[in-house]
Amino acid sequence: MNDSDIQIAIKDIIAQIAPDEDLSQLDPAVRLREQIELDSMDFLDIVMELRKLYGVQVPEADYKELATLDGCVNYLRPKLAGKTLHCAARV
Amino acid sequence: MRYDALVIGAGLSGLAAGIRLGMYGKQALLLERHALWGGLNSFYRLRGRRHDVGLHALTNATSARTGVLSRVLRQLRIPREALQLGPQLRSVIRFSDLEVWFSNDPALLESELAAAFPARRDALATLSAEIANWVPEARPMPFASARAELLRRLGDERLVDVLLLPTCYYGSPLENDIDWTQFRILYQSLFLEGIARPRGGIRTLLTALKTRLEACGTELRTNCGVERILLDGARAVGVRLDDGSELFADHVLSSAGLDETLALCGRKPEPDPARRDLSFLESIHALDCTPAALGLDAAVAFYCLADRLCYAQNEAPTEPRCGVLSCPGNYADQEPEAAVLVRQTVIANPQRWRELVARGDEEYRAAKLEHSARAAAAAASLFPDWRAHTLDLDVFTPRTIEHYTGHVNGRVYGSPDKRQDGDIGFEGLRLIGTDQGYLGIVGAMMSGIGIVNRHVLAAAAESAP
Repeated sequence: MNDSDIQIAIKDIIAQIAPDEDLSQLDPAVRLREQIELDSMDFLDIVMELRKLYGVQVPEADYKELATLDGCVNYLRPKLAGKTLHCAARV
Repeated sequence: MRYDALVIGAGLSGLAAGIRLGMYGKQALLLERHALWGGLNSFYRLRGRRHDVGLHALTNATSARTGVLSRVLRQLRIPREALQLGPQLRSVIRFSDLEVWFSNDPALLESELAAAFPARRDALATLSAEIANWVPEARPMPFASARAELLRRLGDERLVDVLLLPTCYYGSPLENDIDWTQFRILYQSLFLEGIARPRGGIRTLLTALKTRLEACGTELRTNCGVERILLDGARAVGVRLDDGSELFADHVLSSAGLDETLALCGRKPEPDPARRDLSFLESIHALDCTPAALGLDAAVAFYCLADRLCYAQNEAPTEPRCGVLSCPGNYADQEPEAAVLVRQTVIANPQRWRELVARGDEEYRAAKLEHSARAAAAAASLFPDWRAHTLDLDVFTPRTIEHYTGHVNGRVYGSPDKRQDGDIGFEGLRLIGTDQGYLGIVGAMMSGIGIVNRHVLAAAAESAP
């Protein structure tokens, strides 16, 4: 598992939540909410999907860490260590 | 077994709540007293025809991603295509001496209002911009009169009546007024985001919801009424069913309504004695042609024959001077069966209908036909007269609504007392649906989603997986 796998796994989750968004042009350093239409309900779903798919727990105080794709990768790297990721977006 | 959540009522709020619970692995059970789901927006078959209850149009129809319906569908993972939405052609607000057309292009309403009230053109543009930019407060807001707020901004009673007529009919439990927050939500929902009808009517939406509910693993039990909510002190811990069996859960979500839910908890509601509950008499006419062929080409026509708005009870069983005509055929791409229907809705007085029911079946049936005929005759003074074309007529009353929904007095828009946070004073119990203050079909779904997100899933997200 490398950082690009984690990024793909995150995009997979976003694609499921917001299937009508184009995720191919996302800048990983820019806040997701500035690039695509994600409201707080969608954001809760990202957290819930991480929990459901990978058993990862994100306390509310840490939500800010998930603001960008780069932030997601950095925050989730230790939490996802050793887990099998679902990376449909790669195929 | 112990459930994570029990949901009372499989209307639109309950179905949406059930999907969200199931999506994230919560053991949830929907309990519905009737044989069918849908609640205030259900369906039935009569003399070979398929009818909808409740659905006139789906609001917030815009396909923009920020639209409320778009957000609801995203949360439920239901593809928009599943609803087969046909946008309205156009609709009208009509008084005896003026008509204002609107469509899903907000510019039409703006130009029609400016043409009818040229002196208020600037004030109207300011109001429209104010509402377009307004975002509902997250915290519960106290009641404010939309009539007073609009009058202050527009300075014209007549114009205020024109704006209140459709919004009151779309969701006000109050006479001749609506809460200012709800007015703005409805203005956005009806006029800015537009209306559409699913091809196939409410069944199409309910089928999409039920299919999704099943895919999420949430169980729906029909013919399964809740007799009471079980309490442990000030905490709701489960329900007792009509058959005497008991079910236990961490959360109980009730779409039964505020007073009805308090009654399930054994509390006597204390209604305001000055309050007069509003309900409706609804007549569904199946014609031998489309209403458009007769010149009735509005998707929805909100009308008032009196000089001033009379969205209010009158001493008689119905108030025939003011109402709504709804023509499913005047939306794009609708099924031929629906294209010949005209639905007429007028205000009804629940007390008078209770008295009529008490006088026996024959009198009650006769009264239904008499008041339906009065409403149709009244509308014929403003619209093309469809009465000679009616092949089949079904009429329902406050009594019918109360019977099938359990809402006291057949209150379609619930209690005037709204609880935006769903809190009615018991731990583990939240209201969803009409009395949580959301409006219409889309609002009902959003209410179920919002309460589950905030009170069940957010807490789950915090806890260890």
